[in-house]
Amino acid sequence: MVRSLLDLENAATIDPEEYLQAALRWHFSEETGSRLWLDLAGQLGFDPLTDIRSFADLGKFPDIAGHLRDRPVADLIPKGLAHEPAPSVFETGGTTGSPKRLVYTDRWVQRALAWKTAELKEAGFPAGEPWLVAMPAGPHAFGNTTRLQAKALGSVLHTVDLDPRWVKKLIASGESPGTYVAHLVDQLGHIIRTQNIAALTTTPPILSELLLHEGLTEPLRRNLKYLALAGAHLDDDTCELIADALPGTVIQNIYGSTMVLTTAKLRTPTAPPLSAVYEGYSPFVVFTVLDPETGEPVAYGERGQVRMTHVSSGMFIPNNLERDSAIRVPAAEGSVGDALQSPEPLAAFDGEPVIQGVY
Amino acid sequence: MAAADDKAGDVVALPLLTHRGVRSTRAQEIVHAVDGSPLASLSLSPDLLTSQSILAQKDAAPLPAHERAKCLAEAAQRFLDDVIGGLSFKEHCAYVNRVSGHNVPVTEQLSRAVAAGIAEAPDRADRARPNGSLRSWREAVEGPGSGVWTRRGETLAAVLSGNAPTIQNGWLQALALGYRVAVRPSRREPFTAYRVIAALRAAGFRDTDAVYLPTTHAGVPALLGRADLALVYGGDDVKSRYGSSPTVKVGGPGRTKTLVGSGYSGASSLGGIAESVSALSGAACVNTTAVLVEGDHARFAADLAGVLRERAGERQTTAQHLGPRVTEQAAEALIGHLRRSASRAHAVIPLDEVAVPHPDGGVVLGPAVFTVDDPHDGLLATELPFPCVWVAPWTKADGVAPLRNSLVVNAMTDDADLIDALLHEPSITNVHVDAPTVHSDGNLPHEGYLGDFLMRNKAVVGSRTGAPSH
Repeated sequence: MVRSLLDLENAATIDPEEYLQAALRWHFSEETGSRLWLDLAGQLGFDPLTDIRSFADLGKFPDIAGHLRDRPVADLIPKGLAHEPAPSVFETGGTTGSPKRLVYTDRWVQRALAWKTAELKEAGFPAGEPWLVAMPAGPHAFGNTTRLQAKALGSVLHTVDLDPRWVKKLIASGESPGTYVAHLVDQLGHIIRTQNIAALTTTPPILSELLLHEGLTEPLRRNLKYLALAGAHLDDDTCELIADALPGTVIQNIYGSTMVLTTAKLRTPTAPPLSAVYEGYSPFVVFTVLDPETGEPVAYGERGQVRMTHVSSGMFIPNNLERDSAIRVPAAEGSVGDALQSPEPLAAFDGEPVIQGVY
Repeated sequence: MAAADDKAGDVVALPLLTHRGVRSTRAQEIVHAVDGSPLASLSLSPDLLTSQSILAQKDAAPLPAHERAKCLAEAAQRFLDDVIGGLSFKEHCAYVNRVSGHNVPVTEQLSRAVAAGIAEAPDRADRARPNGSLRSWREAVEGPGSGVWTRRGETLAAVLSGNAPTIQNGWLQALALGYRVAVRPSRREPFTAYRVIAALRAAGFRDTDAVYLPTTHAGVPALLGRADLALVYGGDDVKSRYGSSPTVKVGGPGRTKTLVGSGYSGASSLGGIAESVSALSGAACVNTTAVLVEGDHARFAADLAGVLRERAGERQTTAQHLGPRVTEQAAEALIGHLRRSASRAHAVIPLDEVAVPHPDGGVVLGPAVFTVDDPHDGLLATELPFPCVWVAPWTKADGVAPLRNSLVVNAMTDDADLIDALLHEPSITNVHVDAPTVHSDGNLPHEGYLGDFLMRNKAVVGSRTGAPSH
């Protein structure tokens, strides 16, 4: 008997190709698909139900980024989930143009929360101790999902909000983000000085700034057990300096994309960032490393552009080229796609210069 | 240079010289010779390390002035005598020669001038101190009170260009005055700054006194943001970005000019003008790039071209080449630019003769001489990094207007009123009176004395001063 996507999502073991076919049926059926994909189906030039045989074929789909920027969210929600609670909508940072909107269904949020909570525990996250997160909340997913994780881990969450779009505007207009960063450090400093912060999640530039204040470095050195860096590229030399400054702290470099509704899974959660290998969550989230000229995968060990796909009952993002390159590594046994090493920003993407800020 | 050539093929490592010793980074950039061969592997400082270094410098007190002077004198000697980073002075010059484009003797002359710049930094800096200002408050409280020459800040970032090794001389004065200095060398010629700072450390300066932090362009804001003051060298783009900041001194473009008054266009004057065009490989901001001639400018340009051609002579394919040796790409870009922009000018030396391939690789550029008929022609502001000069007619009626916006104007004239007018023209930085524009020494102000930017005067009055003034 043919199992539905909703059944397969919750199955203990999932055959990726069976899952993909169920997902295509879900997203391209009048009864269950979203307005967006049903509209696009006629313009594809192929039949997704017969011409897409494997994950490798997902590259035939167009990049739907433009639609995620402009279509009403109602068009993005699969009809099959119409009776379920309204989803959360989060937006991308807007690094490569105006922001894209992504639909986070409760089904997805709970699934990703279970993964992340288990991984954090495995990494040595000090569950039950105070956690400080200085990442974008508001329209952005990161600050919102960490709140759920803190609850699940029994940790009190302290937050300072970041506005990545404002920072990027400052930098693009040739101004220094210095005053904004100082404003963040003031707020963070108050928390670090008064709370025994045992876990910290923030961006590499903000952490660097904290480490330049002896009055903040000292309590961090004393209390911090877990540090996650995300949201901006962490170069190897900076990573070494941070590790020097915080001996004994588990340091993770988080890599992910709002476009696939989660961050990558670290193959070895406690491995130092320099040797980190990043996995997708096959078959929900799959990475591929491509030669941008040919669109074909590069050889293992070679650097190429990262393509990410997200396939779930809530969203179908079949062909999203990231603004990053990475070294292609074989994926874990039984997984489709590739694993990644040493992701870093492409110099420029799609004509718009990529602006790295504090996020 | 036979001994030097033995090593000139090796790729040397240029690690960071941080506030806590030597550090190699994973981020490395290969420095290439003008012939394309790799010469050095340059460590690049991440922003965090740049910031940590400058903050540590801020917290460190400077050495006392007399110790600074003593260590500078020793460092100058070590710069010339020591083997530093595996290189003798001679070998060092060979590396600089292969990246900078200066010929062998000019490279050595400029490198020796760096040693002089190290040793003389305290005296050169002190020339900016006003009559009414003492070096130390201790002197001031002994007497009736005085101005005391005081640093405006504690740390200085120096963002260098690679035109000439002597670019070090500015920040060395800051070091002599007690600043702690973070040097971001030119990535084209990072050897000289490395050798200077290593020599300073060998002579007794501490790691916090001067740090060597190469970065990409992206690393410059961290340097400028953390240091109290900065010296930044570059062209119009740098000038427009940082020129308005009171804490940044920009070493900007030169646009240096020579005015040839009637009676000065004879053969005896041509030598000095040719020297002004072509000394220092014609790549310095003090090289004359425009000549305004009272009289027959076309004949003068032809005579000047004759002298320059004769000086270039057969040298262009030897180690003594007159103009700079640059990469083929740089030569193509510069000559292409000339072809497009100079179409309305008359090329006295055909452009085809301006670029000569060198047997050791790369291309030797210059001399180039052009004429234009209007002293207000915008082409007179063209400043290219090789002996390239634009000649236009000038009459007394034109006045100082065509000479504006110049680092140096050499006025070859007996007209005292004109010299007065040049001196009082705000956009002219320095005035020579019948002396080649390239004639200067470290004791003269360049874009003002550096001390004008680095120092201020504070009144210090002690108890021995006596009764209040009112």
